[in-house]
Amino acid sequence: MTRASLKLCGYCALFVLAEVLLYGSYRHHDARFHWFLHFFVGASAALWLMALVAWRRRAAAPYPLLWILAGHLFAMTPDFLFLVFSIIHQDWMDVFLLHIRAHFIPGRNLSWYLIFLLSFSAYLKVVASLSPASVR
Amino acid sequence: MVRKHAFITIWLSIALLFGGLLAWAEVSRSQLDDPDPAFQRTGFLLPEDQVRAPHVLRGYPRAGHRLAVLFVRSVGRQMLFHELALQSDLSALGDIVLVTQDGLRPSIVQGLDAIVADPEEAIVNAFGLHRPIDGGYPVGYALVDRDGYIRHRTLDPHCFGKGHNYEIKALLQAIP
Repeated sequence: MTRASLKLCGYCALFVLAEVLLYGSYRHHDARFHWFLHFFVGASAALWLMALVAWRRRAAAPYPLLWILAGHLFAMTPDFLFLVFSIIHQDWMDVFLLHIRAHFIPGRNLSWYLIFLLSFSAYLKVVASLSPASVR
Repeated sequence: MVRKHAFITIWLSIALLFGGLLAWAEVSRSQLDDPDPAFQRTGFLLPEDQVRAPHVLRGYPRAGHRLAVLFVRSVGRQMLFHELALQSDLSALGDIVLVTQDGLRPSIVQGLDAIVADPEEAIVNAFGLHRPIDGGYPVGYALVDRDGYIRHRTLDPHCFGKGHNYEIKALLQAIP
């Protein structure tokens, strides 16, 4: 295995570990609903942003998993405020990628899953249009 | 062409991975959960002056006092300080009333202001808690402000575990 492959594995493993920790931060069994929800929302936003950046720069954004993790963390911010500082949810927290309203979308997480897949399609389409040399 | 196929393969792999995980999450939900997960553990308060707490608990809610009503199916043979952890902290914030479907009492009642049986399910229905997936008695809680309005209600089958009811405390603290 090459050094580059090992680096890639380590990068992916760190992403998975970070997501597992985020899942655990919810503590309860219904973590599944909240984790999926904010992951799909955050990842979708990150994918659209990466697609925009790639389209403008004509080069893929580096470290895409970090973008997705950052999107997830941003979408989860009110949950951290609750967990760490006991600050309860309020309407203004929708600035964090619709943190409150996102729960009540018709179809719930199935809808966010489809939006995530659509976002992923858009991102891959933009990346596919780039020259192979500009995709890392 | 090869590159296009690679991208399609990546997309399909991700779609199947997350679709499978999402399906697993759905089928493995607890029977005590709310059928609509969006209404469980919302983390925010209902608007003030909107949902008046019913007067189905003798003496509660008391004017000028917050009230936490905990709904469980049974606490028979349970040690309350483990199953209703941090209750002493909660009792400093408001009145704590335990409503049980079967009317059995826990081994330790310290910190509770009242224990009420609800075999007819009239109390839990009056407070408007959702029915869980199994259709049985709801396990969760309702929080009432000092003016007698319900400000939060949710199913939460795990909220009574040791160290797991930090949400009740945070919400109760935020209620005027």
